[in-house]
Amino acid sequence: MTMTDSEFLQAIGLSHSYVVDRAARPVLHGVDLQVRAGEAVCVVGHSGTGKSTLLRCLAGLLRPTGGEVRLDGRRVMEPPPDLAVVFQDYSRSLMPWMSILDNVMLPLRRGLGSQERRSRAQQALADVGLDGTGSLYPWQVSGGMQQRVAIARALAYRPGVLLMDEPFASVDAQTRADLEDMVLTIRRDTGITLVVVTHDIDEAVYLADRVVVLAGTPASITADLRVDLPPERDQLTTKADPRFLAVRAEVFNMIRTELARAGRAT
Amino acid sequence: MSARLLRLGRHLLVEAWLPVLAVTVWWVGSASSTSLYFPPLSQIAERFRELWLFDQVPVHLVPSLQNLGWGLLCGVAAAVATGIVIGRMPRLHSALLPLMEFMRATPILALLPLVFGLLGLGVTSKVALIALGAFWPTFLNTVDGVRSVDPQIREVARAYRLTRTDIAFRVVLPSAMPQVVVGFRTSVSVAVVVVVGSEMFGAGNGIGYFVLQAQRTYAIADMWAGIVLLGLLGYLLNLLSAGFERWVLSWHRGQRAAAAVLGEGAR
Amino acid sequence: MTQIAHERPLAAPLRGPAAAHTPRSAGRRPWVAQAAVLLGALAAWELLDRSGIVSDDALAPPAATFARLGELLVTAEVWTAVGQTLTGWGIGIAIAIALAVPLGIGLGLSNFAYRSTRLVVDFLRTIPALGLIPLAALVFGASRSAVLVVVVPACVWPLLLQTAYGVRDADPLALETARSFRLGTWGTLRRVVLPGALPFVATGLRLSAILGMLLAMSIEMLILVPGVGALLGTAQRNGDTVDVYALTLLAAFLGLAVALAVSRLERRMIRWHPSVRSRR
Repeated sequence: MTMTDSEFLQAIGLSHSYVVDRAARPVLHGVDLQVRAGEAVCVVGHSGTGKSTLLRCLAGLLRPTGGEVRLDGRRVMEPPPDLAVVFQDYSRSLMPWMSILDNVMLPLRRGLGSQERRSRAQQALADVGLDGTGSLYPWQVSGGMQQRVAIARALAYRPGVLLMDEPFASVDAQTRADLEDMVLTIRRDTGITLVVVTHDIDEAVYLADRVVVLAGTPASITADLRVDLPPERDQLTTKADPRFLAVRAEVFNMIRTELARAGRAT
Repeated sequence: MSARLLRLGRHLLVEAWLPVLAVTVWWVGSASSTSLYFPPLSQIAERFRELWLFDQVPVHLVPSLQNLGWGLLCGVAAAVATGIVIGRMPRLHSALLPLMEFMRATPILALLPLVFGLLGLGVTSKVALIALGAFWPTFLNTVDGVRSVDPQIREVARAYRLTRTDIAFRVVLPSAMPQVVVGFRTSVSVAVVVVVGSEMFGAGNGIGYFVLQAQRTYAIADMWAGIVLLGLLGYLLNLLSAGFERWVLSWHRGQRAAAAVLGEGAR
Repeated sequence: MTQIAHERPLAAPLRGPAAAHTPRSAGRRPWVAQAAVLLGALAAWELLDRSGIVSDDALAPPAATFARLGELLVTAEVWTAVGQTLTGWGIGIAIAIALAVPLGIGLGLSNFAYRSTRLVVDFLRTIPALGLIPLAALVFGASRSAVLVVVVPACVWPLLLQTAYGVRDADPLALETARSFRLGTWGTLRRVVLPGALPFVATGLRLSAILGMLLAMSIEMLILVPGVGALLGTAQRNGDTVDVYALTLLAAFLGLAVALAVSRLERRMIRWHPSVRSRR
């Protein structure tokens, strides 16, 4: 799991088209992405560029119409066992008929034994700061807490790779900052490989070792920027750091130029 | 505390005055009745006590309830199982659609002669027909419920590689449960109608047989006592199935109440 | 088969024979598979008949059944019976509408009336409809009135409850709008509340109509009131297996026709409703 070569998770010439009214509508074209083990990569792009499509292909939830996805050298044809996904809409991704603890335990293999499954789930809940809420139902807690449950579910699964699709787009600003810091802590403690899709440039730069920009129709990767910040980050000081501001400005300009170019083209 | 008691009292008063009045009017109005068809309620109550507490219970009520139980169990179990399978296979569902529409539009009791011919005049026929009647409402609702499982939930199940059994019993079935239970409650009322109908058509016991026989032998108070028993039975079964719904769907009511308080989406 | 009244409102105009089951993700030509399934069912029937597992007294061959059905359909007797069944059913439904809709509106408008009648309504509507057959036979004999005595009380409930729910369900926003336009009580009722309740009434009408057909045929069969049910009951008593099968098919087609007709009517009544519009 802790291999250090550059192609732990990779997309090679990835393309995808949806069929709309019997015509193929291409969304992604020739996307190449390499993620090293333990690296945190954020994919940014404005809404509708195909970020979620890319994430679904990486997760094995969607079979790309061209190219391929590889995880640890093996071609991904269906969701691989070493990978977990956190979706944007927590209210729809948690099972309302199960308690919070049962939700977290749901994906754990029966082979583990019930004691082990329970303690793992409780540990994961503690890790996201939800001690003692296991017996509640998801809809009894706030949106931010529900998204924590979804993250705990992913952590209890102990994946090598964690994919997150706009994970904090539906929570308020304060909760969002808390959750970002929590993800950073988890990453530091577990060394997990992280791919986060977001439209928020600040969030992308704050969380990532690398930010890649997805743009165009059909979309491909138009920029790949290293974030040269220390691993210890802080909502106030990091976001005021000149290096943070530099990367942020660069990504912002990149997306704005792309948008302008797209505007001229149409 | 006393305010709550007061509220409870008012609640009971508002809900109960009409039933009490209705029974009283029937009782007083029929007290001196000499009509052959409408005997005094006191006489009906007397016969009710003699027959159903509990002299005739093993002869007529128990067989009816047994048939009802078996028929419901078989019909509903088959309906949920096939409903889950067919609900997850849109092509199969579409292929079966015309046949299903035809079968479920058939007035169920019109099948009595055919089923009695096929399976004989015994318990098997009745249970089979009750099961068939109970099948359709639960089945159609299960199919609908399974088809409307949130795609996001399905995606979570795939992403976390849940086993087929887990997907069926811990994801799809609970998600479809609100609709399944609505279907189940309809199944219960249909099953009761089929029980009564099948006993009237060809049987030597059962509550349906009893009422029809009482009418044919002009034992009118007995007939009325039987009808009252049927009414009580229907009401009790409805209470039971409502309780069952409450119990199974406690999460669903809680969620809807929470959603109503929070408004849409995030807090 | 049949749906009987619920304690809570059915989410207005959903489950109908044709309404909710539009195959969306099915193949491009579903009728090929559908025809195959129907033929398969006939073939299974034929095979079961030829295998001799079931005696000839109990199971009629499909060819003979359809042939008999064809013969029956050119006799005046059968069409008279169909007419009698439909008439009894139609009168029953009409009376049920005339009783249930105004009462339902009343119960929907008055909270006191709604709560006062709840126990009585709950009790009366859960009486198994066929339990009244002996009473009907006793008072009216094998006549159309006997059919009505059973059909009307049973069909009143789905309509009554759906109407009451529909009226109670009136959109508060629409009510405020009506007040701001000073529509007055009658105007609000006629222009806002009743149109809003219409989908619920339509659903109640469909439930009642299908239930009514089931009951009408059952009574005809059980106490031999002239109609399709009586033909079927007589055939069974005479032990004429082919007739039983042919007439069962006839009853099924009649049931199907009623179900299709009422769900079409339901969709017409609520043409403006989003659940129908989106299916265009």
